[in-house]
Amino acid sequence: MTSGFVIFGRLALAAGLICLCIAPFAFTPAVLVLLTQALSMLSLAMLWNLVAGYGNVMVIGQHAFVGIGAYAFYGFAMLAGLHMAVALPAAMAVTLAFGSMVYAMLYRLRTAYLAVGSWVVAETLMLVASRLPGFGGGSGASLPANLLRTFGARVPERLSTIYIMVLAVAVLTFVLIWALMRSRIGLGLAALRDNEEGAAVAGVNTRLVRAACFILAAPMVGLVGVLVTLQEGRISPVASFSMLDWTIYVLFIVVIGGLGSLEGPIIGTLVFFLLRELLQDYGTLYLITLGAISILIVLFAPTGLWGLARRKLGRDLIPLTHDPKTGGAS
Amino acid sequence: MSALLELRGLNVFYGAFHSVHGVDISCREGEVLSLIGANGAGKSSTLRAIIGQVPRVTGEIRFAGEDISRRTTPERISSGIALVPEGRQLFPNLTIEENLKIGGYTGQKGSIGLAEVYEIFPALSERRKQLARLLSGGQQQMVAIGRALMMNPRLLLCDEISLGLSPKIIAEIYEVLPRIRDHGVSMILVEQDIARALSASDHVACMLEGRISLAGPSSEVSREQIAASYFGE
Amino acid sequence: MTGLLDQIIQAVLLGGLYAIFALGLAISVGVLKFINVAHGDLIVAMSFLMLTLTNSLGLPVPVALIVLIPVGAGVGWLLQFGLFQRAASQNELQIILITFGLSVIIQNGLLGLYGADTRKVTAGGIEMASINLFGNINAGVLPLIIFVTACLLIVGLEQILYRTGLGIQIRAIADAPAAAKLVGLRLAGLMAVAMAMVGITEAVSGGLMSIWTNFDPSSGSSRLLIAFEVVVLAGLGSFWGVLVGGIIIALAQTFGGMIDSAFQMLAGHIVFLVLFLFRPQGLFPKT
Ligand SMILES: Nc1ncnc2c1ncn2[C@@H]1O[C@H](COP(=O)(O)OP(=O)(O)OP(=O)(O)O)[C@@H](O)[C@H]1O
Ligand SMILES: [Mg+2]
Repeated sequence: MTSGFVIFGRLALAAGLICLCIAPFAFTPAVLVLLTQALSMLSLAMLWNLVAGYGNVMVIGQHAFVGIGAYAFYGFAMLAGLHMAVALPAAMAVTLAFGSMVYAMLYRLRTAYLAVGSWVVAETLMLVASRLPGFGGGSGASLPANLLRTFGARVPERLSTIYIMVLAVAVLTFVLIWALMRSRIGLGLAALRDNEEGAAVAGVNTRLVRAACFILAAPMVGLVGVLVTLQEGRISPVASFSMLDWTIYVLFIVVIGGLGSLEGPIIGTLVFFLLRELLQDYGTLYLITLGAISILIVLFAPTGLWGLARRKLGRDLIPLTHDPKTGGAS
Repeated sequence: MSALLELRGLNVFYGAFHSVHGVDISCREGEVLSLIGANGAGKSSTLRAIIGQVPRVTGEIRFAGEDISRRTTPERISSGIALVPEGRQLFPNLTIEENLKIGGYTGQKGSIGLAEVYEIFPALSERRKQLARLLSGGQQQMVAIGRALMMNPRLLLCDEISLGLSPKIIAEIYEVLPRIRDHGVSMILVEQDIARALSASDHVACMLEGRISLAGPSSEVSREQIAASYFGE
Repeated sequence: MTGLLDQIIQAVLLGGLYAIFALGLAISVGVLKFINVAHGDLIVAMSFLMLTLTNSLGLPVPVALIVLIPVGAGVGWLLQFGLFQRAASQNELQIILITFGLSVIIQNGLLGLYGADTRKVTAGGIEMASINLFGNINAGVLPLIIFVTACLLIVGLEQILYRTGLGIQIRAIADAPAAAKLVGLRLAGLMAVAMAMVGITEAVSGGLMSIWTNFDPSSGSSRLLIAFEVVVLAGLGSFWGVLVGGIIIALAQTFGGMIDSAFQMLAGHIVFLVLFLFRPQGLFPKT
């Protein structure tokens, strides 16, 4: 009975992935734009979930790394004139470096301090970005048409190329996190999520595991920042470092879907975009609703929608060898 | 004469773990009862159940004729029960006097106030403004007892007040128990030191693995009986 | 030269406002052990309420300020009792998420009610008045009032927390919550009272801020960050440390603004981060 639902869920996941793969040929540009946004948010949600849900590092300054990725990419590609294939990894390297520095600065803070501290850092970096010479100051700068043309001569082609890149990054992020969770580090992470003191007593190097989560997530977030820049065709301090887009929405997605699970961010992204399509005409009411839903979920279903569903199903859709609750489901 | 405190079929659970199994204990007005038993026997759990600080209990807890098992801790304290907790549990960054006053806020008004506590423990009165964490173990224990006395309890629950103290300090603390009794306070003493428990109490109850294995007047139980019930031989 | 001294005096007085922002956060970090991400938004909500009281209802500014105080206390009490207390059994992460949701709700609620315009409350000329301190150095009357209010609030809070039974109980639950339960302190009630005190500081902050500076529905975030920086800089040892922290941030912003107006906020953040790196425990830590 329950295993029927699990099989159904897995089939739905597989069908979804197939749809996403054929999307450039099957859907209109408008749908493709929506999917591109959704997959970018999904990547960010999975990464924030890795840091906060598994690593227990409560950051609310993730938007800093989106912005750094975007600005570093602009710097390498436009100001230094490097080729895309060089500028992209270079931008990731810069976010990695910033991620390590920020973590070194903040790691000893307790939860609440670290959260707001990471926000201060993000705010500072945003203000610095708006003063950087060559990056267009407070209003930002556009990517020139010739750079965008490397992704396709006409707009629909360009949309498809960027979509494929975003899809590839989302899949890569998922696989990376999945592989991480199945590794020895993943064992530590699962233990950390369930009981931090217990994990420490059981010999899990909690400091190392948390640092690994935070520092590994940074370049991936930076990569998403690059892709977002390509979608928008421009950088600006306000948009590239947008707390609402890259942290608040992401946080709502993960909380609603289910903190600390692989399925949570996927479900959260679906629900988030569904709500957005339904409610976005109501302006402020949309955000008020999101805020209220996330408060209710934290209060009454802290494991999110996936946590509720999982209680019925009894097992994960996406099997993890090291999940202590199922004890080796794959 | 009816009992001041009466436990009937008390069970304590920590999640799935069943720690105290159907314990019956009674303590009369003015009496000192000592509760002894090996580590993990369930003594502290029993005291915490009486004060209302365990996750789940079943059974009856009657105090002064009323069933209090549904009441909150503050309600139980204001009806006349006070606990000197295991490990003292002081407020480390509050002064001695503030620690004592806390007892006054949560308990009943009565004959015991700051002056009486300082009279019982003169060592404290010299250090009123000192932070609790800077005190010696013995002084901390005096503050813990004083704080409970400030609640003007009819029943004082003492959980291992001799733990970690030197014999001289233990003797000092035990010397004041009769004076507390003079204020009309009944007591349940949880102790590891059997000889001291027997000499300070009227009745003794011994716990083994969550059950009462022996109970009787302190003067009548023999050392052999205790040893047997202590280790379950 | 007098120009510089003038600026410094202005900055010190601004530090008083920042200290009031931070006092409430210091209580919530010290006693309730969590950071309310919506702290700044609650302050801004109080500013808007002040606007309604003075503009729409036509109350005089001092009367409106006095009305604001019980409202702030009530809001704080209700939030703690109705919302945060329910999450108290969960971990710190979850409380932050809840206050985060609250912050988004308040910001957008204000946006829906009042629109996105920048506002300011006019107080009948007092905001323009200044008095001569010495030589040719002047100080605004309003900033002086705010600074004195900050000092009075600090004295008042210290008196309440160290001299009254209520204060001793609140410090006890902050010090050792497990022990507090064993001796029968009513944690939920005391925490709600502490949050009501936080609410009073929010009301005073919001009320005074509405006269001194411009505000709009999204101003809360920057107020929270300032309050946070002040609390971390100060450490949790003393409320007077909060005043010093507020003055440091205000000085940094003022000097930054003298270089270039765009450096104002940035300078505050940078001075905070640098001081924090060298003294993570704060300037006046708990001993
Ligand atoms: N908070 C708790 N959670 C789970 N189990 C507990 C808890 N407190 C006590 N126990 C268990 O309940 C049993 C009884 O513990 P209790 O502390 O009552 O024993 P005790 O007789 O006071 O022992 P000691 O002499 O060591 O103080 C023990 O097995 C202990 O492990
Ligand atoms: Mg014990």
